[in-house]
Amino acid sequence: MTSDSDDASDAELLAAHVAGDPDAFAELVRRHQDRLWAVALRTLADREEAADALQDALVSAYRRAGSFRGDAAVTTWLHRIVVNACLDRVRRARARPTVPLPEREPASGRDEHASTEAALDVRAALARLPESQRAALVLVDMHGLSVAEAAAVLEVAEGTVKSRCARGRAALAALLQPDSPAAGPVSGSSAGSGNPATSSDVRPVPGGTPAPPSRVGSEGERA
Amino acid sequence: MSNRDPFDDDVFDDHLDADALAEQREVRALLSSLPDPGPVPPDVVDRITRTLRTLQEQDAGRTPAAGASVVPITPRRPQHRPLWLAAAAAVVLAGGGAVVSQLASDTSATSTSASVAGSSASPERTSGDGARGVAPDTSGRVYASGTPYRRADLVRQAAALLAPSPPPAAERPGAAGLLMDSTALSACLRAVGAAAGSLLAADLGTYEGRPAVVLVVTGRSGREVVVADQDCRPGAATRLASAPMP
Repeated sequence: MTSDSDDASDAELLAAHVAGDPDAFAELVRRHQDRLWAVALRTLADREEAADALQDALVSAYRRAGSFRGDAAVTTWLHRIVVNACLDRVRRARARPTVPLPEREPASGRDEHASTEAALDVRAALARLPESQRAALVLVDMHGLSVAEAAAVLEVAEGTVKSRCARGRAALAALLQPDSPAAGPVSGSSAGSGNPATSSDVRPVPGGTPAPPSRVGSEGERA
Repeated sequence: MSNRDPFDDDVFDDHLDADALAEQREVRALLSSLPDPGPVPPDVVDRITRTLRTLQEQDAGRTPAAGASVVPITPRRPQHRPLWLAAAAAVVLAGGGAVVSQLASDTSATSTSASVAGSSASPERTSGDGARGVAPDTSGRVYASGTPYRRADLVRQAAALLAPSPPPAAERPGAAGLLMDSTALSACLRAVGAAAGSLLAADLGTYEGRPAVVLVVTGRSGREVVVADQDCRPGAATRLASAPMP
């Protein structure tokens, strides 16, 4: 790839990669790696898991580039592959036994850590959501995608994205209630330990999923 | 992909009552307020780059050399930057001396890179995992010795690059941050009229006092040394000198 690749579109780079350009895919990765990393880390809440997922995803994209049909933006396609790689890891991890947590430690009460702890609480709570809801919230509320964009990434209808987000937010609200029986222990966690798959600091939510949102209009997903 | 207003009502379910909508907004605002993870950590970039490079090598029907170095996934150089300047993942030397990078070579698969500490040490080819800058279509020894090449002595000096024990590297403050970029190197070879696979050795130094890259290549009539300025790229390369080599 020549220096012209700086001006090439994502689709042109992908086509060049398929045609054998040795530098085109790396350039494509350079352009999007930070955003893809953010999706992976936010979805998995574990640095190493996110790194593995990102690597798996990029390898998959490298190999599957020839199957890209151009019916979505390349960046949407890349996000889709990364999200799927992350969700695969979540599912595989959930198939592994988890270690119950010790009882929740009392809050430190140190003001200077309050915001950090709150962030960790949110991340840990997010990690306890069903993966479909988690992915939707990561893309829409954290990553800033529109519902249409998230729907394209997740390959579901926009209504489904809205529904998943709504249910996920309601579940998060319940999980983050201090006195909620569903509120699992999050103290002592870190940004890298929120993944229920790999961390022992997550206590299973009764019933396996968070309590259903009481004020969301529909339990089901609408397309 | 766009960043949206965290309070954009378009993202909310259409069937929420007022209380539920307020709660939804609160949670969305909370999620939106979490800090951005920032760029990909360098170690993650490095491992992904290596993996992709391995795939590329496999696609090309080659087995990457042990510890083979890679083209880093870092922002591309602006076109006006000199060939050798690159930001990340350089072969960094303790003590600041020469930088030596052995590009992937089918004939020297076990030698990948070496760094030379101090000003008087000779560049050595050793195995190591700190190398960066494999050229997919170039092979040969690559140095940044800082050697002051001279017109009258060019052939002898260039021949030393091919010797089993290359000549001592000149002290070259700042050389530790330089990186051989395989893509740029390929472009440079094209710019001076050499085939990509013809490289035997390259060295970053000076020629008659001017920053230069010295390339030893195999041409149609045999080996030759070609000297170009360091901003060596198609359309901009200045070929400073060339001479046949024995």
